Amino acid sequence: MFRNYFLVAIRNIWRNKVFSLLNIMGLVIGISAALVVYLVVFYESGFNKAVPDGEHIYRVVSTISFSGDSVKNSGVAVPVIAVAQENVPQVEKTTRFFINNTTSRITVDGKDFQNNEDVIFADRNYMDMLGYEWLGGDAATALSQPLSVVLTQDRAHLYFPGLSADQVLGKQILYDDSIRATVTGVVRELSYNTDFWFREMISMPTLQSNSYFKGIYLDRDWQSISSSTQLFVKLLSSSRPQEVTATLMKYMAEHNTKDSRTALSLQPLSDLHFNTDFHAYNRTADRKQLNILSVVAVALLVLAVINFVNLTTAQASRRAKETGIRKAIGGTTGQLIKQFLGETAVLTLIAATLSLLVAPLLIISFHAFLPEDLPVTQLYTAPVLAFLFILAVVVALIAGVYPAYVLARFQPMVVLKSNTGNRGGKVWVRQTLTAVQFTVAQFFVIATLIVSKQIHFSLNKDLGFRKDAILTIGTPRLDPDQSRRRLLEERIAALPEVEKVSLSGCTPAMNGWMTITMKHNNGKQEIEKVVEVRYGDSAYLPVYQLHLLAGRNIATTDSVREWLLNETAARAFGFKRPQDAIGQLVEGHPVVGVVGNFNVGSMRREIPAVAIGSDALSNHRTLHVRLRNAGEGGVVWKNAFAGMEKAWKEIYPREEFSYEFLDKTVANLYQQERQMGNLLNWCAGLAIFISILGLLGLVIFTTDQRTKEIGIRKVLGATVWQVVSMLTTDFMKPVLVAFLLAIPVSWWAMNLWLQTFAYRTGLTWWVFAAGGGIMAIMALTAMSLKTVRAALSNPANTLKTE
Amino acid sequence: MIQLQKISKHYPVGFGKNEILKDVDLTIEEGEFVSIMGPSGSGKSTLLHILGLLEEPSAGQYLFQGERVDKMNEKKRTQLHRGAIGFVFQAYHLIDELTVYENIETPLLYKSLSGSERKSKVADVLDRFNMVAKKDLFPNQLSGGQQQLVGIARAIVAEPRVILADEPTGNLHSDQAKVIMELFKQLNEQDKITIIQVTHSDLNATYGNRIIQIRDGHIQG
Repeated sequence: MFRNYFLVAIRNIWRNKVFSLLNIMGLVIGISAALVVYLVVFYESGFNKAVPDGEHIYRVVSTISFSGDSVKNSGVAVPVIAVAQENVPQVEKTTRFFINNTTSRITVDGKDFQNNEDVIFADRNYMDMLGYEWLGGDAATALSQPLSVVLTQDRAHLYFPGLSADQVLGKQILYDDSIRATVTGVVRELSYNTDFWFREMISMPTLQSNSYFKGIYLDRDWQSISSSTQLFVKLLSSSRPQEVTATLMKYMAEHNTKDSRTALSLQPLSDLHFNTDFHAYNRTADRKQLNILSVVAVALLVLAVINFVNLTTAQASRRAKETGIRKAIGGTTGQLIKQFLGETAVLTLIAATLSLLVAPLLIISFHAFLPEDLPVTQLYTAPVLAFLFILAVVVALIAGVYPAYVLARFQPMVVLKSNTGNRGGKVWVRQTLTAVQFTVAQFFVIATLIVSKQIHFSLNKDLGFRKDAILTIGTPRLDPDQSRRRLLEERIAALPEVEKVSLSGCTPAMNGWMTITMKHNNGKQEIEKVVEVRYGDSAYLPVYQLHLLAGRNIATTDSVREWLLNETAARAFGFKRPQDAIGQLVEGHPVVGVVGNFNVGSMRREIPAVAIGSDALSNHRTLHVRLRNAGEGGVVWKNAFAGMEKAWKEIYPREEFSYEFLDKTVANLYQQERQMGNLLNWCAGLAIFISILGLLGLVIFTTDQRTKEIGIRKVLGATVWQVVSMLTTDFMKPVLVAFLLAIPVSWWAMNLWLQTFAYRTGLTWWVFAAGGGIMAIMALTAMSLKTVRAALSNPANTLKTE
Repeated sequence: MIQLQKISKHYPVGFGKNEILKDVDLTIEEGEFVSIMGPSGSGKSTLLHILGLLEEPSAGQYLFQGERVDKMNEKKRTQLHRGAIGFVFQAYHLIDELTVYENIETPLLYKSLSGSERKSKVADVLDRFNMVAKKDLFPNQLSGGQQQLVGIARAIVAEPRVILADEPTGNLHSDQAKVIMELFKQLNEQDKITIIQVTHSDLNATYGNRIIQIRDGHIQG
């Protein structure tokens, strides 16, 4: 019986090649999308699962509240470590480590390497917690002495190519030309997916032995909280995290002040990879993004299923005869439903198998939206394949039930008596499903247009400062007296291609926040405000052409002596006109000038209160260079780059020269939006593709059915154009309905999205019109593939066959 | 074996109804070879479909082997289709996607016979109809007469008590028709299968041992 069904299935699929192809292509896209999303979810949720006893391990994290604002920090104040170790009975074990974010250069055998912040200060507890396998060195003592370091195998290969684990032991690594550590161990990379991606573990006693490190990492202040101080606790299996938090808070509360209060909490290890408040180390997964991806995958899958239902029921009358015969010779409706479902299953399984080939292509196309370390090879592992199989079965059931019911329901007599009539289920069902399909596709098209319109708006709006022909050059951190930076500034300023140079802090607009709390006493009351701050020298204003509304520019000073405020800040401190602010004391220093408002971040942010001060010694580390006109063929700029690189190499012979143009910096603020636009683009493309496949299938089918009618009409004098429009009109109805449905849906959704921007583009009517136009053109083009040919056919031929 | 009592059949047409059969009484004994004749639209095909349980009568009683079947549910009807009734159609109605062998095998699949039983039964029938060489061909590779042979082979493979044939030679030329009719005669005489055929042809009717004339929904004489 099964063989019989299977044969009929295969032969039917083969006989209706066009329909099978349309069906399979749609399903392949839908299933591949679902497969990729499952792969991502499976991969992300596997993080840290294999850490031994992971369910009892928590990270201690801090939430700092001050003047109505609060900041989350994944680290703790250093004294909390001792409390956790000694004063909390429920804690079985504590593990702390410090992320080395101060070292900038690592030298091995005369070769320089960069610090990717995968270097930590750790001890044996850390190695034990994660369950490292030792390839060389002694687990018990490797990290007990100062100036020793343990490497993972990969890192050992990078630093000492060709040497075995044992040969690496005893080799030396030099940190920032000052700390010379000896390799005392090599461990195998952790075999499981984990956020603990550190590859270089320097012994904890090294911190104690070096006063510079000691000052930075072992600060005894309860108020000083750094995310480089990481504390993990393993609780006794009988204890509850709340009790531990309560005990820790008892100690922390003693040190909280009126201005700043810190709350400690326990973050389960399972939360580590997903919590965007307290980031993981290398990469934090975004649940929201996973949800968006899931919705997209489901949408594409639904479109493919709709295609299947439409194409199969449209063809039903072709299969009706078979149903009739089978019933007459003893087949039951149930058996026939099973048979037709089986056919769907075969088709779906073919599609599922092809998906394994297509999914990697989708991963490439969607790469910006997927974790960059996603291993494509995991596609071909048991859990993913099992999911694929289950998915195929479920899709086959959902896609197959209605068509199977329609096909198996035929009464033998009705179909055997005559072979005419359109009995493929209800036509309105097909039209509704087509309308749903096109609504989804139409939504994606309109959304894509609106997202790119907003990006275009963001990049072209006047930011309040000049952004073209400006580039920034970051300088190495260590330069206590600024002498080398100033030298580089002089050299670059002297280049004829350079118009002006400023040695300052951050660019006016940047990714991130830099705020301080500022007070101003106006004689009656003290006004306290959180203010965004920029540090710059006297050239900062002219380089960026910020508009001075009142007063004068600031002078370059080693530490802050005077302020420039923007209009918003001046108003926030209660000055009605810009000039009222001049000479007033804010945070202990006089305001010398007020500048016009400018954007400090992306268009999502309202322009905040901003203060600019000069703080050369601690905060001026970036050169802001404004170039002259690019010249013919960019020759001026080419000379400028060469000149700047030459100057750099003379002053920093061991460092790489790099620069970034400001318009790129600004464009990077919209990376998320561009990714979203990219994703939507793909979705729109795939949704249109699947929907058009379905539409084309329906058109082919009906046109074939109406061959005779077309012939007769032509004999009676219909023109090609009249025939084409007759065939097309019916199919454009669901497309039109879809357009009308998509307008309110996309208006609502995109309006919601635009609300997240402080400065946004309008939802103008032409965006919707353009979206509808694109869709209509696509649909008409696809249909014309079939209708024009049918209309051109010679009636003599089509009528002869009857 | 078959008893029809006051069987009527009508279809709704607009506000009225179109009467096809009116108070038909008919008894057919086991082993008979009956030919139903009449002009187009006289209701003979409808009568055959009712006999074959493909259509339900609008009124009246139908007893098949002494059992009331006119209001039977689909499951029981299917049982009769599998075991007791075989159909032969004018347009052959083979399944285009299946080979000759597979077409003949299908009724046995629905009877849930084991693989080896099916094999031997299909082989017997193929042998008897001299079609062993054609067993792997598809219907569209056969002539009309050959297709109808396959249709009959499929009808008898499950060893039914009665074969209902709706103008079995209607699409065939006379030589082929003769072969088919001889075959029916043989099945009736040797295998004792009751045969009821609808036909236009007086010649074909002579193969049977009883002729029922039907006109305007009434059985004549």
